[in-house]
Amino acid sequence: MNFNYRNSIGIAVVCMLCISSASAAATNQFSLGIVIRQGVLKKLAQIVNSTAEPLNLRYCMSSVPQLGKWTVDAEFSGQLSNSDSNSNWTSTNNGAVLLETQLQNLSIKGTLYRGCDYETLRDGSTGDLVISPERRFTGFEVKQPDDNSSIPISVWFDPANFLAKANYISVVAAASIAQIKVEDLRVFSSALNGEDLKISIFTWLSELGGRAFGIWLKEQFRGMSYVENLGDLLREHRNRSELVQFEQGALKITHSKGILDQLELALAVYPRRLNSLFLSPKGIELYFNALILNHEDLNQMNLPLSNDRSDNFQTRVSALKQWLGSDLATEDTTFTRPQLPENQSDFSMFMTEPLVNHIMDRLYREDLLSFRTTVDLGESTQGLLIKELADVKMRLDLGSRRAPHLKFQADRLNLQVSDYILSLGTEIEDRIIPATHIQCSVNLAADLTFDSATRSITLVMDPNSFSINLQELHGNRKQKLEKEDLKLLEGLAKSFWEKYFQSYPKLALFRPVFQTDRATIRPLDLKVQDGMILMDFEIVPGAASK
Amino acid sequence: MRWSSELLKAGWWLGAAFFIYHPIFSQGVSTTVGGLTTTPTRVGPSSVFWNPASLGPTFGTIIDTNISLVGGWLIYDREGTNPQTNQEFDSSQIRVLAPNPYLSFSSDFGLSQWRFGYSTYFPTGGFASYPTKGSQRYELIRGLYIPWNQQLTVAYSPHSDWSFGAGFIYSLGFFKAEFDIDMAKVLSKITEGAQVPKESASLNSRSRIPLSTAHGFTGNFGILYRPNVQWSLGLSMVLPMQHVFSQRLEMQRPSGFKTLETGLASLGLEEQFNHQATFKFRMPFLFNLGIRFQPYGYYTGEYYGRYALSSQTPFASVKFKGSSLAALEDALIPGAKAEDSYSLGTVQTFDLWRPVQAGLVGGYSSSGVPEQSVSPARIGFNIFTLGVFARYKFNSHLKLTGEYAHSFIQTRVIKNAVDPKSSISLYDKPSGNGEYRAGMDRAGISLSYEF
Repeated sequence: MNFNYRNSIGIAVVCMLCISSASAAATNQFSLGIVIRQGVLKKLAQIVNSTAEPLNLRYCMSSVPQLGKWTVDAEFSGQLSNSDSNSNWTSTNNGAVLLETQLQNLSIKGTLYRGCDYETLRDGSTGDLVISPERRFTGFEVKQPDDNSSIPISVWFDPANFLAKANYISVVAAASIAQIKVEDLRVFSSALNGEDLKISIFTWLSELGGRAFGIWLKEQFRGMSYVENLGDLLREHRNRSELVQFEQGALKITHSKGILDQLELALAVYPRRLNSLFLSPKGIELYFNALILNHEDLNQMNLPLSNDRSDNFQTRVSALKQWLGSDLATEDTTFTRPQLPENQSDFSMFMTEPLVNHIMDRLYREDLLSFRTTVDLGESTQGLLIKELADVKMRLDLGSRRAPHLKFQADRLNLQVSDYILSLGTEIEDRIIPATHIQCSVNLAADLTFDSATRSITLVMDPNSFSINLQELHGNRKQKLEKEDLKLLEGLAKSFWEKYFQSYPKLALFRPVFQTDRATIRPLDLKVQDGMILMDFEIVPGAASK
Repeated sequence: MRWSSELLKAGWWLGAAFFIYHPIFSQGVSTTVGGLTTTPTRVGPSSVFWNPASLGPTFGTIIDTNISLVGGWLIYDREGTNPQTNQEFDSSQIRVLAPNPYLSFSSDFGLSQWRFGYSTYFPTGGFASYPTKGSQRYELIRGLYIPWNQQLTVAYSPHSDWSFGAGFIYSLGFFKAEFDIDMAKVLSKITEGAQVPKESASLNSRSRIPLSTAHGFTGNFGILYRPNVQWSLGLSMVLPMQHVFSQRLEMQRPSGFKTLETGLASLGLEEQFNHQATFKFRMPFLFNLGIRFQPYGYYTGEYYGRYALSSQTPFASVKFKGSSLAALEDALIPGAKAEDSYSLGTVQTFDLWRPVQAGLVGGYSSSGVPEQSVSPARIGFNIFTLGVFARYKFNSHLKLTGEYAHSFIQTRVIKNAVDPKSSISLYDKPSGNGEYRAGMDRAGISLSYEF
């Protein structure tokens, strides 16, 4: 079975995990969360039922009394009830969720091997379990009769650790219906189907099944703790949309591919140590820390590196992954649990305004500043103003270190770029002669959505909402531009950027925690309240559209 | 430049106006060179432009002077909406009050059959001063074209009934102009696809042609036939003439290009784009025919017709010889097409009592500018003029004439104005579509002294 969510997840950008600069880290922390509602259960069942692939588990039983270690290689498959009336969850006081549903066509096929053998990785660490045919003991099969009967199951699920365990009543119910077959020990089959032994075996199988389900579910949540390079996301986005170049007449925007290739920006997400999980009738609320780090940030963290690995970005990202799993990563962001409105969506994601702007700021500094705008004056004016072709270009550089800033407004996001400095100059061969500096204030409505193609939380700009205001920064110099001139430039900029955003309205920000290939995530609504954005999503089972 | 061309055409039109009896907006732009009552059949040095043979019947030495004040107005309501405000264009208005002097003398130098004369006058011309930011600024803001004629006339009268005359005319032309060029097209090419606003003040290139002079030469010929006291017949022809002004055109770089100034400077373009050009004004053949009839001693009726062969002579053209902009290098802007025009008029004179004469003048002139060629710098109207005059003869030597005329000018609503064909890609210019209204008055005084 599999399911595939495209979800945005809350990320709380924890700042510097840096051991030596914890105080600096605290200033860059953000909250981000995901809320899963009851409706997900039905969609989950649809996703599970829509796939023929069984749920696999290879597991080492290390504590079988007097028999030593055994390796179990098993496949679990079955159909969950699609009916709302048959499926439900209930939050409990002990921090778990009681899932109640019905199971049909249960099938468990597996093989038992003596002992547990693990592969050895290059660095000497232990890898996955491997099976040895010569150690095969027996095969087994558990099958539900084909009589359309259902097995009511009741599972305790711990969302914090993704562990599921069927309760005893479910085990008994399943044992009373399903039959066990042992390939190589058929003589014992009737004995195995004896009531007491059958319940014991089903108890053992339910533990395996719950563990397999938990692992599978955790995979859909990217392990709940992951690190990825946002540079890869941008590169994928650029390659897909050919964003590296945009031309309009003699005006050309280029993005230095070299710089883009070198972009190293890590997004790290991991669950909060405290207050990461809340169960309520509204749903399951999961809260995360998130962190955006460039190479320099990673260097400052003094992460322990393996001696045999070179000190490059990927190495440090790997070290960061290990660090996130350690107890050292205990720093939680300052957190205020949001007041969640009643909602009928399958799940919601919320993120704070500072988080989005922090990502914008980092992307801007690491990526957008490498955009270069040139106006080929020589070529465009040949035959009009000048006779011979001349290599003269105007250069428009982003002269500000301040990134575009997203302002959260009611039901809409507004991208604001204020006090933004553009430096104009003339590029002649390898020299740039400065002309003037213009201060821009730009407003652009935007929607935050989930982009199916890149599976990322994406900012979608509305070109028609673009507005711009320009002021010349002349200092003590004589003012060059009159009001009419600035108005003209505003009109040109508006015309140009409208066209640009019509061509390229999307800016991928990050990939969410929740990812699956078996469903399409459809944004339903966006609400802004108290400086945070709440995005509601619907899960549409089926292969994800790209 | 096309604007220059337009202006020149305007000048030419104004010149044409002179021939076709609708003085407007300028000194000397008058069908009444020498005064309101001059005709091809009128005797005396005040009529040598209309008929050089008019000196034939004179005796002794005569000095004729005339000074007129021409007052006129024109309102141009441009069609469409202002692209900057999305509202209707404001009216562009000219008001002009201009003097038009005339001075001439003639003498027989004691000869019985020959007469000689000299006249100086402004036969045509135009000047205008529109609002600097008016909607017409891409045609014309201000400018003038004035030809100052010096005419030497000789008349031969072999018989009392016949006179033949010829005039040699040297004309000193004055010309200057100022207008805007919309450089949006240049910016459009640089930012292809961007919505470059039209007629933005930031993209205005204020262009100026400094005052320039040029020499022109022409001549006229005429016959005056006076078989008896009651009848006179005058017939004359004025040869074509042209002024070729060789002058620079100075284009200021639009203020909106200031951000590009270092780039433009790197391309070798200074703050001012300079061009050397020749601006050619041409005047067509003009034919005059007049009849004078005096059935009674106290009444004289003069009737005339004038025909300008304008269709054979296009409006002014511009030829660029040197330019700092590639698009204007060796560019030629041919003159726009004109059409023949005519005028019909009469002067009715009444001798009320011995020293006093009074009279009426009236006339109709057709427009010489076809609809497609009309612009704020080149306007032609159908005009009907009514005037009065009074002449007092102090003694046998001195006469004084006062005159006044009002012109009723037919409003023109232009829908299909187009630019003259041109390959110049530097700019676009608004059409001259819109409504043109005008009015004109003329008041003058003439003094004639016979030695």
